Amino acid sequence: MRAVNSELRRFRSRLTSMAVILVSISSMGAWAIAGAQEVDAAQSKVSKTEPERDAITGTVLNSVTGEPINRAVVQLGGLNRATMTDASGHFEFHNLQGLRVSVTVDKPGFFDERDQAEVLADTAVSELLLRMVPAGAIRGKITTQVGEPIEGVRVKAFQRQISAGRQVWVDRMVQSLTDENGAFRIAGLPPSIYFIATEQSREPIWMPSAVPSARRQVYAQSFYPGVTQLSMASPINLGGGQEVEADFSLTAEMTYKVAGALSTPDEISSGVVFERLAGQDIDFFENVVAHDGRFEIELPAGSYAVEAYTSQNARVSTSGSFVISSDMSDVGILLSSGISIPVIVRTSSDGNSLQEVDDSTAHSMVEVKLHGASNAPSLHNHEAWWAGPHAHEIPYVEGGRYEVELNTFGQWRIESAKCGGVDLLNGDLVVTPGSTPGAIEIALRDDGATVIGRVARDPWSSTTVFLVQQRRDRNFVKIVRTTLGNFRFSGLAPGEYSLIASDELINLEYMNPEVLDSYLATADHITLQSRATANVRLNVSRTSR
Amino acid sequence: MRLSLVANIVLLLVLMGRLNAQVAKDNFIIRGNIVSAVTGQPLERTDVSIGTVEHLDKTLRELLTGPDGSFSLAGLAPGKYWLAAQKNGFRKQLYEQHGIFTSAIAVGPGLISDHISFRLHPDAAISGKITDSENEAVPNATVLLFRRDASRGFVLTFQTAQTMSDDRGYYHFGHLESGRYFVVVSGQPWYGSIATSLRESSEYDPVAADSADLDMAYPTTYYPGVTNPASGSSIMLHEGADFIADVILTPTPALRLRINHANGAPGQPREVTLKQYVFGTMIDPPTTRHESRGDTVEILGIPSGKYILEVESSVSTDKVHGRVIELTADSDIDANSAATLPMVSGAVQRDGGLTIDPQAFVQLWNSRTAEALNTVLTANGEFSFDDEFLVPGTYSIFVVNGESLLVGAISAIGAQAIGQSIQITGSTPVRLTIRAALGLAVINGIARHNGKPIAGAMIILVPENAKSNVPIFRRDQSDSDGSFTLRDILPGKYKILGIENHWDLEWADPAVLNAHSDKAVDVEIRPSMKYEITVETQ
Repeated sequence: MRAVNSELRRFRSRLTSMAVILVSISSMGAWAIAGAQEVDAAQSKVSKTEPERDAITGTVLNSVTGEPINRAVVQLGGLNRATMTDASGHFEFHNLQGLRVSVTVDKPGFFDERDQAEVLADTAVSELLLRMVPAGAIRGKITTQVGEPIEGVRVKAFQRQISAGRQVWVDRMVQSLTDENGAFRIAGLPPSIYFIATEQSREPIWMPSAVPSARRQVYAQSFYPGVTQLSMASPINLGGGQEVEADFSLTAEMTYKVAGALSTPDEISSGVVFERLAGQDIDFFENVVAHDGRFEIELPAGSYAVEAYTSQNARVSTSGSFVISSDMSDVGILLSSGISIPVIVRTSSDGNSLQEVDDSTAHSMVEVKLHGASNAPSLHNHEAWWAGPHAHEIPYVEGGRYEVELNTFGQWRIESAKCGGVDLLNGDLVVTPGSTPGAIEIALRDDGATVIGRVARDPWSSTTVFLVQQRRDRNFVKIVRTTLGNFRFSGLAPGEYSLIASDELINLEYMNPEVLDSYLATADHITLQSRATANVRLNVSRTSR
Repeated sequence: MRLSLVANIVLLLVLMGRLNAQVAKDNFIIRGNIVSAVTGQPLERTDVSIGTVEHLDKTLRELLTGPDGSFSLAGLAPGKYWLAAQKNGFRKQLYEQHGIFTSAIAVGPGLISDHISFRLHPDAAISGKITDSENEAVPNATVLLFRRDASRGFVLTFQTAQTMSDDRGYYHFGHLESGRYFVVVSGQPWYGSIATSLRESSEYDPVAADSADLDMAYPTTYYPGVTNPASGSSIMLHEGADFIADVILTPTPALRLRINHANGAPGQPREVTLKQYVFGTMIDPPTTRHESRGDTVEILGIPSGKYILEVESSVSTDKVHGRVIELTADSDIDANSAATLPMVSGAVQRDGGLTIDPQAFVQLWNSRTAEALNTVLTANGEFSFDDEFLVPGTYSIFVVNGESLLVGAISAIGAQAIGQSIQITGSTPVRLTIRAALGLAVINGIARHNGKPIAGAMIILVPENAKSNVPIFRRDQSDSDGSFTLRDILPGKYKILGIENHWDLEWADPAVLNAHSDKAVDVEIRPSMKYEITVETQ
């Protein structure tokens, strides 16, 4: 019989984990499994005369300690059967009909093994080995600068994750409130890299003083080990089953009373938000309702961005920042609609000269995204989109450095993309706060090249294929997944490209050239001509990180 | 000075006292020191705050005590001030606080307010680990904390806090005052939901039954690990103590309850729920699963025990049905066998109209079981308890309107009205009429001991026929100058008592009060009058 492979599901974010493996029980009495790494079922020593031919047995192990896991629940999905492991981690199912079933395992405090291939490689044919990763925890104590515990502080964990090849910090959405000893504990964390943050105080903290007009105090958002900027925070590398301690203290800041008037192009419809800038992030914010454009607010010192929505539902904000360092009684804050960048698309078909196309046509040919290109970690995505279907410009672009992502549809390929004098295919777009940048001008041609190919692997497994062109500042990367082993890229500009088939790379920061480099070393290379179609056959890349 | 009404759900702030109208210089002082009530040691860096009794939620001044625990707040206008203090390890407390009462500090000419010794009670805590009989931690169990004391007039057990066990099975209740507590745990084995989902499945094969040992439930368990509340251990928590109360849950086979004819008339689906009483507080038992098959509802994963089954129609005019069931095995039950529950509704009326606060509510309180049911009082004075499970018994009726208790003559159809209570015996609908009295009276008094004003005494106004008139009892605590105020007094005959150092007294029990009545003063209260009464304490 042959090995059947199926896509392995991952539920890495679930605490009670599910390791899913598909097992096939044949009427012949032998069973076989296969995963990312194929297991040769022909090696099965199970004979037709085996008395318990319709049985599955196995063991559940802690992947870090190698110890058996007692009282884990193993389920056979298709059969609605479940059992619990014994003290040696062992489980057995008997009287199974010759059916294909999925095996899942649950245990509080454990996640499924990240790489199923390992599980399967170690599996003896008569004995399933299911490994589970123990969850970790981060605990600590939040104190004042004089070491007194602070009760009722919300503590959060931000996990490093990869989204579209870029590093992002994702709120785990598990909050812990410090108790009367200032202690917090965030449990159920998968092995990963984390930042620990305290939320800004919700209520002003009282400042010891018998003076009736004492200044109120607040805590801004802070990160372990006691800083307000993420770039200065210490990441915590949490291993499976580890419990890491992260004590830190908060610094209370005095607030200042600020009153004044907002000057806006239109009437403001809702509240106004003051956001204090801390590196790439905001460490303190406060909402206030403006009456007839006038506001009164209490804030700690710092540089603020002020933002509001007009009655036309347009976002208005300060173009630079607004600095508070003392009580201010009559300030004027100018809110404007901010920086927007027009996009002009020109096309040329059949070698004719370039013609500008209208916005809705342009949106069906190309999409434009700006990604903040700072290397400093940030909790929020500095992104801007050219969102259609009729938009003429990219609205609300904050000052900063951006990587410009351009994706074409159909046979259209990018001939050039420029903004002012900057070639956006080879360099980043820099937006200066308060400036008026020129339009992004994109030239498209309909002579794109196509790559079609096949990945040498059993066709039931879907593989991710990366098409990479190395450019000056950063790589051009396109991704597709195979369907029945086949893949296709189109709308490519003529030139040299590399191709990588890998399921591992999709979980890595592949937009970072350093990460991609080790894969490029073993990649397949092709040169594409206009309107040509290249045919390739790829092997799954085995390059490890 | 009283902080709030007897109501146990909403903390209502009552304006107490009135500023002395005479114009005086703002040069009075509140001075004293903060000491630990346990060790007597001065407490440094303690946050002390004051405010006027007219504004209980507004802090006027705040400071930290010095190294000797002392504080001094000068430049105060004559009047009465509340005094509060807190520190790490000491929850926020008012001066001489007893439940909802405190002694306000009276400041003014001839009043002594500069030698205050504020005894701050340290926090106690109860924490522990929830494990099952396999010695495995039980995460996500609901842990309920109950307290038993006489603060509501009788010794009663009522819920004071709730938390969840963490991933290691640990729970923690902090900032507790000393007293008698019970810890109750309600949870489900983590694998229980897997078992019930398997059992729900049409492909479930009980013969193969690998999963039989998964289909387990934890009965509601009382510290240290018993299912009968009478066998549970109370925790005598001392001031500042950290009590460890580990609880062991023993899984028992989960039960299935099948309710036939659950839906009643076609097109009028009914909702079927199981509830459980723990010390008079209704809780939802650990997660159960409902599976409707035609006109049958199945509830799975139920631990054995005593429950109340409620059958409620989506049609609001339909009656609620309910019955008490003792589950020890898988059972079938016909929804129509549940008895109709008494529906209690009524109206509050007053000649000359009534201004109903948006937060106004009516409470039915069974002093024997500590069950308290609340319902809103609408703007036109109507109320209805039709969606609550009301077992037959005697209930006191409280009408809380804004900052005052509305009282008056109660009459009932379908139940017997006795004083401020009703006795519900059957399942017939009950209609109440509460004629809110006009002209409630006020007593301003002074508590004295051997002729000298005394602070911190419990003042109790006891009505005639006390047993059925709990809602018209009035209480206060004497302030630093011995003064007290009793408001919203229904005209009638009363005794007024002043009792020192007996804040744990069952003040609504006539037998208990008789033992303290030697120096009681008889008063007859007439409508809309203000009385000045001096009470000798004992």
